[in-house]
Amino acid sequence: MGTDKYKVLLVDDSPDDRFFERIILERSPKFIVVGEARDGQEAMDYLQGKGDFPDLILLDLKMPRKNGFDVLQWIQTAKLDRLTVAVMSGSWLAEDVAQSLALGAHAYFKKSSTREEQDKMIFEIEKLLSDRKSL
Amino acid sequence: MAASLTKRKMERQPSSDTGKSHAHAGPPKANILIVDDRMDKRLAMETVIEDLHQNIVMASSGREALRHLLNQEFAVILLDVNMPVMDGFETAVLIRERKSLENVPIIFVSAISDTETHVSRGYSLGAVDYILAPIVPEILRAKVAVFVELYKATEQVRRQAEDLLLAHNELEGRVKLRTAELALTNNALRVEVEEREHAEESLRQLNLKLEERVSERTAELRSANQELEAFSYSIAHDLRAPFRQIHGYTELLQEEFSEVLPDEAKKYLKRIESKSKEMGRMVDDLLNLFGVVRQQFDFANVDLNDLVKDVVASSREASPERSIEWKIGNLPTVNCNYGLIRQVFDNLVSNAVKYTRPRNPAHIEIGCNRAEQEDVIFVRDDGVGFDMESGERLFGVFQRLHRPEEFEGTGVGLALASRIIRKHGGRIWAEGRVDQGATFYFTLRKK
Repeated sequence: MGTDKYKVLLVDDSPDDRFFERIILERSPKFIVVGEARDGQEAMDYLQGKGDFPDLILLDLKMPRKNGFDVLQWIQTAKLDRLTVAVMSGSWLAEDVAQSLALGAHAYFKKSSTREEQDKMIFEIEKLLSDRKSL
Repeated sequence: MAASLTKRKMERQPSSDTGKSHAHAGPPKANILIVDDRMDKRLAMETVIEDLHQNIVMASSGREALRHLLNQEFAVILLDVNMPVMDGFETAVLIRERKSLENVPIIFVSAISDTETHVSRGYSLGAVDYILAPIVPEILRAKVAVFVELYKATEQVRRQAEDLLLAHNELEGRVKLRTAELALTNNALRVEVEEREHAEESLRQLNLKLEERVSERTAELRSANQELEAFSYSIAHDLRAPFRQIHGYTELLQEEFSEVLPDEAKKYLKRIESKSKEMGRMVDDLLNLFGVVRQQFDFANVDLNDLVKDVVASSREASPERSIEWKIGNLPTVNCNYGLIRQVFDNLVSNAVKYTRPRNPAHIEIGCNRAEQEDVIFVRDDGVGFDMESGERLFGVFQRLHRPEEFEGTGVGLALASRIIRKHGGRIWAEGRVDQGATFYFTLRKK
């Protein structure tokens, strides 16, 4: 594992979506998936555990136990300032977008199965991470 | 009433018997009573007054005279003073005792020798005149004639008064009868009015109940409809993930295994990919459609000129290869939700662009017919148009009038536009002819 890669934690209750996200991310040499969580609770457990601490979380919103908003709130109170959070949701409701950003998400992406949109998303995530790194 | 009338007629009967009833032809005759014990004197007087052509009754004594007087009315009595048994004065006293006879004129006939005493006594007994014997015929006739005339005049007045009374009574009777009839009618009317009021009241109650039930039922239907839409929304929402994932896998299959897959398999895979993408689009459109109803939105005054300029600009950008001549009229400012009305114009304009694809150049006009109550905004094109008979289907969900090979689309755009316009309290409709273009109209509340 090269240290020049962005370490990513995938948080999604759908194994299919985690599978797609892994593929999409690893098309780029800049990302490496260091962990997967099946819900919000597992995500918080991971972040507090001994696993590789990620640079980025791809966070789903609707999940059992603790959902994406719970995780966002927890990250805020836990002051995990180094962590970049990108919400990956099936929902495109304006209220979900607004709430996510209000709770500290750095980006909001709509889940997409088209290559074009996926490439665009990766490009934007890379840009976001490099911008935040230089801060 | 009728009974009392008859009674009155019967009361008048005695005077009718005298032959003076005005029902007889010719002037009624008056009765003249000559009272004298001597036949020759009676005849002499009768001869004198015969010329008057009245009815003459003779009496040879006071008693007989009284009998006549009880049976008939007389215009005048010629009463001889000097009679045996009961003389004229005694007779006069008896006559005057009778209430009904107290005003009958009496002319005393007396010999000249008794003049002094007779005249004063006669007058004190209510005589109206005096004739002295020997009788001068002209004087007797003239005097009797005066009383006959007087009697006749009095009779006439009395009869007229009677007739008047009769007429009055009859009138009164008729008024009473009519009043009674009116009272009856009135009563019937009141009953009818009451019945009608009662009926009206029950109708009003029934109407109220009906209205209540209609509004209850409407509320039920509305909530059932909302429930159904919420259900559809959640189904559509839940379908998105699997459709997206199916599409994702077909993309991966094509990307990673195209070298090992036989051509036939690759063809099928391409189909699956395209179908799953279409399903995803339909679900997205459905969510959009139901989302419009669920969501609460803000109204603001929007200048449609700016909005349409934007829409046309992005449409040009999206299809730079097309040659379209745009004609954009002056549009009003309306109170609406910007995002939603923008969606309506996006849909109508992209439809116009899509269905004019066979035209080169195509013509698209956006304008507004201004009217007193409402402004009618329209988007007109000279594209492939549609058959008006299927016009109703245009605004239905997933309704398509063209094969997907000809024109792409899910058939939700116009349904969505229709929902948005309705949500704004407006109307939307379309006119078109096959191959002659289409015009879509809608109304919006004025600013």
